[in-house]
Amino acid sequence: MSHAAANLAGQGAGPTVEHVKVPLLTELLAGDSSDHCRIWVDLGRAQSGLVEKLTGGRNRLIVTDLPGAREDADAQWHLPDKVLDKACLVEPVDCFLCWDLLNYMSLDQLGDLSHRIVRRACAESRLHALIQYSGTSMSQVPGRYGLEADGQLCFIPADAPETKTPRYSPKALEKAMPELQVQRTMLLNNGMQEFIFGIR
Amino acid sequence: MFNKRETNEPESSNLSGSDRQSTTTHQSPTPTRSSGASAAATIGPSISIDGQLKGEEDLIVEGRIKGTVELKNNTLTVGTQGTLDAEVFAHTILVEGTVNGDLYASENISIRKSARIRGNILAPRISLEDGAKFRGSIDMDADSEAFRKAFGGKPSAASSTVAKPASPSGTANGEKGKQPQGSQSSSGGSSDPSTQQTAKTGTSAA
Repeated sequence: MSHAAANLAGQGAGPTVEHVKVPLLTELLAGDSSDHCRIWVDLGRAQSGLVEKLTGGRNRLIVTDLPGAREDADAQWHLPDKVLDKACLVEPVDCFLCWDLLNYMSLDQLGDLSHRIVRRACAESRLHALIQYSGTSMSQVPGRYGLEADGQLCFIPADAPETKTPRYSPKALEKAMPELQVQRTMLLNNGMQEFIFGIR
Repeated sequence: MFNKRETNEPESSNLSGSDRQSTTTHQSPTPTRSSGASAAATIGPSISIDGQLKGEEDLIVEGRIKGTVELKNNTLTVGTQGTLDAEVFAHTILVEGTVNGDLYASENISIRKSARIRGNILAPRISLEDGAKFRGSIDMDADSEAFRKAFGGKPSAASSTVAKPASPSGTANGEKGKQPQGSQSSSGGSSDPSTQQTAKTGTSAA
């Protein structure tokens, strides 16, 4: 088990660990040649792998921890406004990282989220997401993700009962989030589909 | 009350601490700079402080602090029982407990898995253990305006390799005037009181 996987497994999650290559995320994280400070919004939980990846460059990472808000029974759990307001953003966000959280949102919630995101974005902003594509069931609560040193993504599903996956299609996602458009997709070897969205 | 904890060495008998005052006046023979082997003052679990805390030595917090903490040449450790509702400026910050507020370090911030943080953190080097609860912003850009405001446009050696020092003239001078005394001395026997508690500080048993 890798270092990241061992750390994540130690947090009480189930023993099943998936490792998957995420080419589109790897491209995003590879950075650009410009000298400006890149602003990242992570809608998931804080994770060591992402912090390590971004440390050393000119980066600002804003962690909104939406799964934590969901556990707190916050009816607005899908909206990162509180954290983003406190982060005092002046420059637009370069990348939004959703992991698999969009699978846990209704179509209305997706619309709310995209509306909030676009307010913080610019034409070059990108949104990365992992959507359940071939799997018919998933854990009722989001699992944990961790970037590994080799660029792979380690995923440990939450130890919780399973529920049906929404299996959102690209068209359904674009309809629910009209301000966003699908730029690239890639089917991963764990059955999820990797998405990069741009701003319309 | 405050007491002294030797991190790597046996505790000195005259620093056992039960007779220490809430405002520590112990002077370190040499300034401590996150060496890990030097004495560190400790704010115990029953101590609650409301106000501004400044110092020239390492500090471990197991109690509660509300306000501002400035240890610009030293290490602040928020222990597992520690709770800060404060803005913190330090050379190095280690968090194992709870922080509600912004953390600024000129060198390094380490967040352990037991940590609970809501706030923004800024340092050239940041490490975070999986399992830590964090909501806020992690700023690794030592060239940012926030970093210059916090440390007077003087990024540490570590940060200077990350980004060029670009402090607008006037801003740096203006900010320097706001620095605590400790931020100006980097080596060699400061004679300042090691830790002072100023403003409306009230110390009480929790």
